[in-house]
Amino acid sequence: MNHAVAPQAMNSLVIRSNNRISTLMLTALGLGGILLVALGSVLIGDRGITMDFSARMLAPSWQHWFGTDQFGHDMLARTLHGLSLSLNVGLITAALSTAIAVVLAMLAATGGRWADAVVSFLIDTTLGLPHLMLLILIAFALGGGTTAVIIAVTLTHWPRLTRILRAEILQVRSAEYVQASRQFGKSWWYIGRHHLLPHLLPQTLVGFTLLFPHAILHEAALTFLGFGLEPGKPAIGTLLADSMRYLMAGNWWLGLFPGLGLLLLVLSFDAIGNGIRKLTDPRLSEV
Amino acid sequence: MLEAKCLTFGYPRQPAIVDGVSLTLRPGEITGLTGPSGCGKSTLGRLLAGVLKPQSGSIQLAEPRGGVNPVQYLHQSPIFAVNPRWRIGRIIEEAWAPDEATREALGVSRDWYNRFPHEISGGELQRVAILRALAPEVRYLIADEITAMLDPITQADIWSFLMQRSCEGLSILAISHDRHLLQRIASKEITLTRLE
Repeated sequence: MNHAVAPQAMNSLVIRSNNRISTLMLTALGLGGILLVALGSVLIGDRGITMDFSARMLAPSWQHWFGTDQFGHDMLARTLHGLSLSLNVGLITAALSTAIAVVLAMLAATGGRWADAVVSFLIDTTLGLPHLMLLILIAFALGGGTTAVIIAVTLTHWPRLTRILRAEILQVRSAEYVQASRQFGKSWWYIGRHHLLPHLLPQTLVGFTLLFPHAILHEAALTFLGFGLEPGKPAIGTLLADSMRYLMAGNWWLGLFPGLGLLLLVLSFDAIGNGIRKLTDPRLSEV
Repeated sequence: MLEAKCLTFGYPRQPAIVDGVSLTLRPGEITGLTGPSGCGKSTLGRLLAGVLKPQSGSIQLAEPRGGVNPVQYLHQSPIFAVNPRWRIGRIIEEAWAPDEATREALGVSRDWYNRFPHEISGGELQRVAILRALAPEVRYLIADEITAMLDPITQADIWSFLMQRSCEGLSILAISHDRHLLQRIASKEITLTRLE
């Protein structure tokens, strides 16, 4: 009878170390990181904007965790301001890109052969051009600044998600279970609501979340290269560009902490995106 | 009675897959359909079920097609015929709410209702697919190799259940490569040949 007991014990072990819980924890951690940035920048208020020449170029200490720059700005406050600015730009661009992707994917999948050909051509064209080059061209043509960055990043980030969503719609529409649903007398409206939408919603949400880090990184890159946000704003790109002049003098904290902050923010979004994907797919959620 | 006359179907710029096939399915009868791979057995089954539309020929059906189709098509691989994001209970009840007797006769357990399709075995899922297809409106079942992937015991289980249903009036078209199986269950046999 011993061998009959062992499998049961193993079974309960599998349930306890459920992957769903660890995924949830990681997602919550990512969400916490992002909330920390959003709240932190509000709580800090004017710190990091006002100059204090009595505290120039201080190395990290208990008073200034991330050190100070050449104007005596507290770098922790400045990094938080920069990240929250990135967060805003990322939110707007990711939302706009996702909206474009959803509309074009629906058009391609349901609008007949011509609509599909046009959308596919647009996708191929945009993906075919060097990403950063296109970003610089658009941002430059629009004269730089926050609006130009938002438009440039939006116009270059929709193709990937569009392609995924278009393929998903086509795949589900011709799936055997949709044919079966038709055989049970269900309308296309019912199929769209109960078969297609629950399949596309998580995909869209994951696509939206994973667009964030791309948008933030490209915004920072544009700003770093001088085509992006106004130099006066404490954007991460500006902070990194400024730090270049002082890195050789040994002021490592000016570049390290803003860079690490950006990395952590991007990783937070990555954790959330992957978390949503895993939690909404019944096959992945319990592995 | 389902009467198909001179059914023809093919894809554009390619030779016809089904060319001028006529057959009749009568209530309470199991008809076997066999033939070499690629001769159009599954396509014929899909035409009869109305999943595909024939280019010429006609299908006459005594029952109306609105609502649940009285001709149901069953796949060889049930995993493709169910939504991977739905639980078994919802999958079955998309078509109808089965009575306990039918459910038990097919060996579909209540315990599966809360699971996803990939969490039960292929044989169990095929039972689910059959149960789902047996709504009261259904008079004809196109069984396309439904037990080809299953073990002999499950195969015998499923076919003895379907033979029972056939005695009660269900008409079944059993598509299979297995001549021995068709000899056991079918009252008549149709052989398709490949078109050259």
